[in-house]
Amino acid sequence: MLNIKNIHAQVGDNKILKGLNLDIKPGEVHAIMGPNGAGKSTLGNVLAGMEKVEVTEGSVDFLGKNLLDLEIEQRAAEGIFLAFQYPVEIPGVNNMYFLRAALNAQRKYRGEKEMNSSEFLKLVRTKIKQMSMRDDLLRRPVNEGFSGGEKKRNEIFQMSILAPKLAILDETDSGLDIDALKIVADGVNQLRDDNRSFIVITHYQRLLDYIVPDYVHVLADGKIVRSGDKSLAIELEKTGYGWLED
Amino acid sequence: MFKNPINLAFEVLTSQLDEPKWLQKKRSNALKKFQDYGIPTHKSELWKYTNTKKLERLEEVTDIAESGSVLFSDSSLSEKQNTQTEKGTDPKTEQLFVFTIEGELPKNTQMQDILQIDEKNWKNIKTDKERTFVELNTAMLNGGFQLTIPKNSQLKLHIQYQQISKDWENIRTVINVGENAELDLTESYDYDCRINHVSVINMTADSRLKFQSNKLLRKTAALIHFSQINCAQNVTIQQGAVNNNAALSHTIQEVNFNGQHSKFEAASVNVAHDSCHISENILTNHKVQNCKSNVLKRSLATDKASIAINAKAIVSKGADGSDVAQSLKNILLTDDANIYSRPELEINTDDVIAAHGSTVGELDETSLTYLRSRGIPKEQAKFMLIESFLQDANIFNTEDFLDRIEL
Ligand SMILES: Nc1ncnc2c1ncn2[C@@H]1O[C@H](COP(=O)(O)OP(=O)(O)OP(=O)(O)O)[C@@H](O)[C@H]1O
Ligand SMILES: [Mg+2]
Repeated sequence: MLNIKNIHAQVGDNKILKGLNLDIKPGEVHAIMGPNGAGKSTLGNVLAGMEKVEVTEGSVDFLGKNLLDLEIEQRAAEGIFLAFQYPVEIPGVNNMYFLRAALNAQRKYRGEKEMNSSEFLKLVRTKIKQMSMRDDLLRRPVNEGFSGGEKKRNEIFQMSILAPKLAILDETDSGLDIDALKIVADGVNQLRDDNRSFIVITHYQRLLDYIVPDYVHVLADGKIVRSGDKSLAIELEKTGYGWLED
Repeated sequence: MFKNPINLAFEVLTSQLDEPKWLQKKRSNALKKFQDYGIPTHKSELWKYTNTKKLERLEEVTDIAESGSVLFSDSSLSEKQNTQTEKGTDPKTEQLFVFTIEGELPKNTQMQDILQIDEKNWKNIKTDKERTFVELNTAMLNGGFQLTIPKNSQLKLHIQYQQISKDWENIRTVINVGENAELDLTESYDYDCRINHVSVINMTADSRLKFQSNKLLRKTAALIHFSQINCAQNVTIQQGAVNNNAALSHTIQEVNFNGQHSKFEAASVNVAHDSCHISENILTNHKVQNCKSNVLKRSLATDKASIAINAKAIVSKGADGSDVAQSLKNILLTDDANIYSRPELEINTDDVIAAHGSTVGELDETSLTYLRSRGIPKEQAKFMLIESFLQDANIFNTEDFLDRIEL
């Protein structure tokens, strides 16, 4: 589904990713861990197409398409979803209006019929229940005045409405209370199926108790330096990243 | 206004009129004053960024209004209106303004042709170099009215100002709102106009005004507007304005608080494309205690357009308990567009609540990226952000607020 080959990326003159390779098959969950500043968010930004990151070398193939050729919005419509580490507040743009515009823009791109407001409302109602979201949040402007945890949950709520093929969760667990963590994990697990893949960026093994990954990778200094299964996360919890120095 | 020597134009106009001496005198005095002041240049504060040379280069108006029905629900008013047009050759294209009244016209509402009023009813407006076009308006006046709404009454009125000749229309309007009366007024201007409008609204004690001004203009149009609102005590005013395009659209508004406990709340939207220019200047004059003014402006310029905003509040000595707010936000969509935005408070007393802010920036790139990352195409995402920016100024919360604006 996703094939990242020898990616080099930089922001300004700052070289951040330095020859990163990753292969993800449909239905897989890959956890990415690693020290602060290693380039984890930058990897998410490269995949989502954020313009401030410049890819200088390498290729990314997503479902047979050259991802790097596509605009941000085209990537979203092709099925990439990035749950941001720091979701943006957009005063004045209503959450529901925004989500429906997003869903319909994606459907239009894919040649599907757009959803009318009653169909959309129905979809939202079921997802709200599943996610135990407070529905007053949806009537407010996008993320405006949301608490840290509410913003993260809103990201996952958006994900569940947009139903992407590859979701990248960038530290969605940080700032969540224990109940919210379970709800977010539930949201992800409900979406898990044979065709949908996840990249879960996290610092804590705890999330991986709820969202059990197929692979765990350590990203350090712009490259994947170790890969393993769930037990690697448990090991890292004990050892930390001191061993990277050697 | 400028193509022909102004004296010549003046002679042509006045020779056709059979007017009382006093008005003839007013006209010639005004012309002299206008010529003494001269056309404002970049040296005048309120015209600093307005290129008045543009006025000389304007083409003749092509799309002359096919003014049709003058709608009145009251016959006494329409008779008066008709007497005005009798002099003209073709009443169909002779209407400088079209009234539409919704609901009942209050009994004892008075309407007079501005050119037929008694000398004692004529009120001079204080002018200076910045307000030179008020003098020109007097000199070249070709129509207008004085409308008086009786006390304790209610009126909902729409006035459309029309372009009926190929050259400038100089219109003067005076509206007196009686004690405890309520006026819901919408004014709009011909799309392709060349209008110099002087308007005065006198608000008597306890009266209320809901005022919507629509200046949705063609890119070759020109509109110069001087607007004065005088408030006695306990007056409430809500004003919404939408200004879109025009080769030159320049407004000076003065709001005078002459009585205590009056409130003026105004929100406007300015959107300019191509090489259009919009200038909005407002002065709120807190002459007495305990009045409140709140001015909000949201402006957007693209292409090579320019917008100039001046918001000034003067709080006089002793005008304690005044509450003054100004919020000016501006967005530039292109490198060639320009916006000048100036909030100004002149406070001459101690006990005042004042807040002002002014920003000029671009569309927020982070927000734009966030919207796009969810699949919304760039142009649509921009539009969503622009819309939400301008919605701040939707003072009457109408759904079709932005429908007729070229965004
Ligand atoms: N816009 C930017 N401008 C300058 N430097 C940047 C920018 N974005 C990222 N960097 C730098 O790139 C490096 C990697 O950043 P990135 O956000 O990818 O790290 P991370 O692995 O996600 O870290 P964390 O665990 O703290 O979230 C950091 O040193 C960071 O300072
Ligand atoms: Mg990060």
